[in-house]
Amino acid sequence: MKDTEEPILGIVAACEAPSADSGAFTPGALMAEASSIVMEQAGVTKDEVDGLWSASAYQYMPTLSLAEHLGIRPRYSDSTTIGGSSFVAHLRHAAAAIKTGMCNVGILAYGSTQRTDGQRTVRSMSEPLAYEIPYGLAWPISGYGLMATRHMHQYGTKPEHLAEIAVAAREWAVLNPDCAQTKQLTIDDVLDSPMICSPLHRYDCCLVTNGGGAALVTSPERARDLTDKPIYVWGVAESHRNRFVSAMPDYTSSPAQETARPAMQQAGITHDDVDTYHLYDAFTIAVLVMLEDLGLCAKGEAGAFLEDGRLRPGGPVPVNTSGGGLSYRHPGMLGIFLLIEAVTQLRNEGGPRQVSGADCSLVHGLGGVHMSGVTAVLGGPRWRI
Amino acid sequence: MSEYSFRGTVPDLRGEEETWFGFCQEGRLRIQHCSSCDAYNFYPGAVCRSCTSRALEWHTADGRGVVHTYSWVHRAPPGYEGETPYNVSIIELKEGVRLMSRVLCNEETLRCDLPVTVAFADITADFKVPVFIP
Repeated sequence: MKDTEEPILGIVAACEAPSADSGAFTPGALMAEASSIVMEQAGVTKDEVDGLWSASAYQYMPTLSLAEHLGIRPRYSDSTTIGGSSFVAHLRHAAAAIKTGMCNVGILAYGSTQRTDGQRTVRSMSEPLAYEIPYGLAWPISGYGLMATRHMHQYGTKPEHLAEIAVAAREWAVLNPDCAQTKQLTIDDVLDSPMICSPLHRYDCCLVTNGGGAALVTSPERARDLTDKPIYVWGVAESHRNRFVSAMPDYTSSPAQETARPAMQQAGITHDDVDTYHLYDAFTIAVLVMLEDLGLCAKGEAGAFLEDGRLRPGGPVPVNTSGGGLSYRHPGMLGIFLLIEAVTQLRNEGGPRQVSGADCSLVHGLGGVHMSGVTAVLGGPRWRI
Repeated sequence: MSEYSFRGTVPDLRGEEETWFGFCQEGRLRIQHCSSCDAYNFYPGAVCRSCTSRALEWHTADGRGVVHTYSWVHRAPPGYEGETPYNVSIIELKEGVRLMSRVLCNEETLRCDLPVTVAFADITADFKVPVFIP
């Protein structure tokens, strides 16, 4: 294992759009709101922002929309869209662009009004496949139902194991003062909730919320000049396997099998170094499969791994300290929110949910039904610096 | 008319989709065979996913396979509301390729690795899709 000497990117500021839940703004306006705040926090004017990253089901050309809202003419623009993981991948793309001098200061931003939209929910993420359309696939839940059924068949995973992930997420959510969910869940609450797509119950599924967020990134050196609390990106790896549910090569595993090891190797870490995990929890089964594929336990053994509640507050593997997509916020694409919560923890700004001494975080984003995967390792202001 | 039918959405078809669903209307489940590397391919395309050769030929599948995995839909997407619960299943054909389909059976019968055989069901009077029967 090599110890990387230098981080690949600096994060100067990251925050959510405060007006998201009010319904007062469109998705484009929400990403601009969050972008304005990160510029203010970083002490950077829009004239210095020359790189933009975004992905969305709302905008066909999301960085153009973002630039227009901010009145920016960037010299580097990247709307790479590989699903909800896109924003984690953008870290790596931004590192490459900044390292090679193609831009100096970048903003990653996202906005969504999925909750307000209700039945008008954007469906472009579910660009359909002719060979799947007639069968009434509920996108993307049916896909995760197919994964859970097969995982249970192959490895003896039980509904209780999935439920534990929802219960742990809610325990974290209750510690988050910004979170609307204030009631603890029990395993029985999850198992007694209505079946949505078997074997997944309502509480195995993420919330549908509004949300907006942005992060301001630059070189590690510049980040150090701009803030007392720079967050560093030490390693990122990305991959994808397939586009459609019926084309999944394996219904029990994910691209985390391809990305976890290279990202952790680039960062020079093992799981012993990781203080907080930020795992894309669109559905409980998504997290269960990730625990295995990230190497926290052997393939097929996540059920047993979960049995002593180790993801919950106070446990040895803190996962999704904000309450995550399951219990705090899931506005279509979760990637930027995973990054924002990792930054919050690494800056020791988590309040009641702060993991004491957190200075290394592992983020894993997924796209679609575990179709794309991106793993990133983030370090706090003084970690290795 | 087929012996089987269910209510569903008819897709807009282009190119190879039209070709493949055309076979279905004749009661044939066809997959592509690569004459370069001998791999079978589904869904259809212009290039073999194993070796990127363009030497693909239509092959009529044996029609037997097993249920690889399934999910019963209880909260349906638009157009399927009255049909719940119904299953979305992934069938692994004898040739090794997989496709999405529906298994016509009850919740007690459906399980992973259940042997099934293809049949064709009417979605409309002139549009058939493959389904599977235990």
